[in-house]
Amino acid sequence: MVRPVNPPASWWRSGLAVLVVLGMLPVIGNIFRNDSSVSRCEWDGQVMRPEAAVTLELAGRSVTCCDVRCARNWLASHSERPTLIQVRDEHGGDPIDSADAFFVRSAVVTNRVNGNRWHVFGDRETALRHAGESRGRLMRGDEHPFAGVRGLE
Amino acid sequence: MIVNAYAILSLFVCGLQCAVAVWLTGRWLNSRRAWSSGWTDDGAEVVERNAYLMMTLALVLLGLDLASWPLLYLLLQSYVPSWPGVMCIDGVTRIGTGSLGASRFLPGLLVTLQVFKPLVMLIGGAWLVIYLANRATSKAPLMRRLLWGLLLIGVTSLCDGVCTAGYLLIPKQEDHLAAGCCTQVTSTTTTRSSEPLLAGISGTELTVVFMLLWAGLLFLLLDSIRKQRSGRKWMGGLLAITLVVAVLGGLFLVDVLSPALLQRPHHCPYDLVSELPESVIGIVLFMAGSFWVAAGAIASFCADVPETREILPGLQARVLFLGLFSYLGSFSLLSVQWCVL
Repeated sequence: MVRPVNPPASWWRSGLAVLVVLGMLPVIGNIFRNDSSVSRCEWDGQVMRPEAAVTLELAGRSVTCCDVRCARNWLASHSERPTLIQVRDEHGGDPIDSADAFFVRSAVVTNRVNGNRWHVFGDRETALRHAGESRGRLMRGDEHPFAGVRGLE
Repeated sequence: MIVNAYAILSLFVCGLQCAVAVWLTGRWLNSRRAWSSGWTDDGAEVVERNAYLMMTLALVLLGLDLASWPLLYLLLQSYVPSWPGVMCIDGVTRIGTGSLGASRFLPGLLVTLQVFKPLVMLIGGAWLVIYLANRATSKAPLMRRLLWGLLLIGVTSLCDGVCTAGYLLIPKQEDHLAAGCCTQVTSTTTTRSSEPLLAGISGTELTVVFMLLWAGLLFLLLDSIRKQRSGRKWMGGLLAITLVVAVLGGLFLVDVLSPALLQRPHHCPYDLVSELPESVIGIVLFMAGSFWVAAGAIASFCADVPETREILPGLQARVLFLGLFSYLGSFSLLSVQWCVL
């Protein structure tokens, strides 16, 4: 006949040792996980393509989103206003201030997950050529993707 | 069927699960016929002969059920690249929604599976505690209850195996999500993971209530272990608090913990599987803690007979000890994870 008794003292000691090991797991995981190699969108967590990234410069920090659509969603749900929005030229990936960039909304979807159809160009000719080839339109004035951002006005 | 290594492994495990469950249920029916015709010597011999086999089968079955649980999530994770709009397991769980073909059953099957797997573990844990209590006696007074428990384990595991097989075999290729599963835009059907489950309650309020109740439960567990409390009322209260803490824990995971750990605005705990796998250990420990406490509490109702009254408090103290340290392990891991990030 087996008679169970109270948890013996060795159980408590083993339990405490296990707790210490468990507490160390996230630290070890963080060291081994090379997060710096992959940057993720701050809106939906997708792995970003550097050539489409949009950076919102806020007071004291910056937020990076995977494309114009995610950046617009982020702005729509936060009260913070950026002092600068930096986008990247689709051709070459050079960073441009959004006020100087040319935005085309065309039939070409760049991101199948969020359905982004915003295209960013550094020069007007390339933008117009893309608009002509892809049933798109150059978006200016009120149609500018970041027209409603008060911090930029 | 989408064929990959995880799908084949899952199919193999669920095939084994179904075979063992059918075998167990068949043996149980055989024993049932013997004991329903009265406790004759022949009948008692048949039951005794079958009992050891059935208990071994039950342990094998519980092992298979336990293995199939993480395997389900690994399988779902492996399906993510199969559809362009799916970003994580949450998207895979929605494949088939609104479909007219056989794939319309897929979301329902997944919900059923996610209910059955913890249910089998809970029944298995409670059965194990009753089994240990019965083993500690000389006359095996809990044998009949154990046999009914075996039937419950067999039938639940069989249902689980059949649902898994159904999910694996139903074709999924014709279904596509219209947009990303974790994004807020484009369609009302894609907003689920972007919204908290408790819209009217802030994350801070939920955190405070959950932490206070959890701390209270830990204190009660410690008290139960030290003083060997095992009365039905006490254990019933402990079971009720455990259920409340488990529900609040689920809400806390979705509304507060996963957005904080993933540093994202949407509420999708499935992302933790691929991005912070060590945090899944913390969640599993929390569930294990709840199961141990529930199993210990259920034993108060199902294993409390005069022959076990002497040994039951000590046995329950050990089971509650496992529950307490599972909870503490979960807290230790997840709080460090939160601080590290």
